[in-house]
Amino acid sequence: MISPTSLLPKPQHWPLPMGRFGKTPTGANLYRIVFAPSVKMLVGGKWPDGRAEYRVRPAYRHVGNEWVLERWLSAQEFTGMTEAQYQIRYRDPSTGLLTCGPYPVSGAYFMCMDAPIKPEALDSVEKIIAGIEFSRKHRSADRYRKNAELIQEDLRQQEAAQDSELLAKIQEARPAFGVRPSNIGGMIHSTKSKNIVIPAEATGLPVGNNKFVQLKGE
Amino acid sequence: MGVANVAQTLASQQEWVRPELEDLSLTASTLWRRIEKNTKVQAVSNRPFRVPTLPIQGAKFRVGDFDGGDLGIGSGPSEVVGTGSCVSFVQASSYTALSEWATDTDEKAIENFADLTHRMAAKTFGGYMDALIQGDSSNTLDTVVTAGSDYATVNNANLFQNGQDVDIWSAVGGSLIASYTILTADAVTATLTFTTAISGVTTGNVIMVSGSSGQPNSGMNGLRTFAVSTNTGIWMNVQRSSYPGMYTTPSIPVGGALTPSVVRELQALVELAKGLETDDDSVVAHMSPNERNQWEANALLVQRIDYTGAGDSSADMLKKKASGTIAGREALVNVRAVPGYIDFLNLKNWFRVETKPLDFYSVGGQTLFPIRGASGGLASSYVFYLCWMGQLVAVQTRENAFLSGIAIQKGLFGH
Repeated sequence: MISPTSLLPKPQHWPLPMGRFGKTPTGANLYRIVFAPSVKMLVGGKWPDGRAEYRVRPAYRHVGNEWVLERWLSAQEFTGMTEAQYQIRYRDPSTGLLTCGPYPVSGAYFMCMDAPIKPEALDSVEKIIAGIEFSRKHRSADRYRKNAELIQEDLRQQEAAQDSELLAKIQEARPAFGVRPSNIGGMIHSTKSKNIVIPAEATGLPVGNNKFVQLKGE
Repeated sequence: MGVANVAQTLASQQEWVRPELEDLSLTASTLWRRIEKNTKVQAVSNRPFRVPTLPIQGAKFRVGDFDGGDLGIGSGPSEVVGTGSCVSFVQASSYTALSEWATDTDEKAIENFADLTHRMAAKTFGGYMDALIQGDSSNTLDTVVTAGSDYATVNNANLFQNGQDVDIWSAVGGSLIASYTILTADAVTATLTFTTAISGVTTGNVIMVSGSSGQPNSGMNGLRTFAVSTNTGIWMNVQRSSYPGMYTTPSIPVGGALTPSVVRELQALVELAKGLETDDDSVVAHMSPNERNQWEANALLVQRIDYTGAGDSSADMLKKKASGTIAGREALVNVRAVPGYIDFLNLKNWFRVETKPLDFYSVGGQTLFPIRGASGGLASSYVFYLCWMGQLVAVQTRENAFLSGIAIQKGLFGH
């Protein structure tokens, strides 16, 4: 029987030597820069057309026509489990197929940075990889705690920005005189004073030919 | 009188007041604002609204016999309508005349109290809605994990706000135990402290919005209303069991750490559910800070802390800011998200219907009302109301997906 993994086509590589960043146990490059639409994955199960089989699907459909940096991960790191555990966890009981294809015995490549890498940034790929490798070598509870703190700080800043926007909205909607609530939903119909229209004649002001109340024929 | 001491000078001493008022409560409304911003808000009447779907496309495909054979008859599409009703929420705020007069200029106070009350009202209302949107349309905010004399631990105290009135029920569809007021909601220890003793409250009781009927499907729809992976319950009053797999959401019980293969599996399930061309820019991954941190623990990102550690070798590429994506999809980190879950939401399929958009309650243009005193005369106090009447709807639930059971890191959410 042909392994479903053989269905996967080779991805399109960016023409940049990547071997200098390390090798996998099988001698392949540790990092690769590939065209996202050319990276495929196996999906096994019952499809909407009724067929139960493995099909080749885009791995990064959501990324679009961009280049991505991938790093090789061991099977254990990629899946977080042994092959035996994988066979139980990922096997679709109705079809007997593995949802993500066979256990990646030789490891798998996965997208780094969570975002595409622009061609103009490729000159800096060495720095990115240095940062990734640094982070992989310095994992600790303290590090996770600091990351969590920084995430919270990000959220705090986002909230502060929202607050500022909301305050501006409230202040914009406030009446001209005094603090009175008004409509923040769009149309203003608050307690602002209504415009009182008084005819010029009633005020005793001079009314001449160039004044707005002068009507023809009068 | 002897030597003058400092007590004799107090009358003329000026007191320094820090010119910023620290807001100690949580008022963000991440997902609620996002759905408002990114999706269509549909105005509806007070009548139940209808959401048509097409679970069965129809037509019969078969082998043909064109040598005089019977070609058979066909079938057509079968439409199914989902229905829903708007639900109403109101939030009252009050202050006295003197509280405004005593604070209405910079010389009197650092913050205009009436201004502050109005600003906080809009923020807290958004926060309450953001908490409700995490729920399952029973107006349940969270479940009691353990109960003490005047406190209870919960899964995520961020779902509550200080001073909030809540109803505690034995279970959804059960009996009302009592109504209590939350003194403080501490997210770090996942503890709610109440203003009074909470007698009769035990593990497993549910904490609901004040005034809830306690019944399932009686409140505002939320993530857990639509993120259901089994063919049980209803989608907009359509029995899921009537069309198995059509109104469900792909799900993976992770039961541990968040690995790359888990995220890829989720993607595979969406592919299987919808066939193709479903993943686009409108998909966001809604999660709590725990899941954001879990993803960073995979060390495939240049984690932000590396900025300092990696030194000058990375200064131009790395920022002290969290990555805004998870495997290429936008990460919507929400402190009110239920920890342990990541919900992949296709926001183009989420929308709100509203009979009454969020606004101040208004009578003839007046939105601030005097309160009556016991004598029948006016009390020197004002009240105003923020109100909203609407409902949240998600269609094409199979284009969403969720992970559950993601390990919660030590030190977060009381773990």
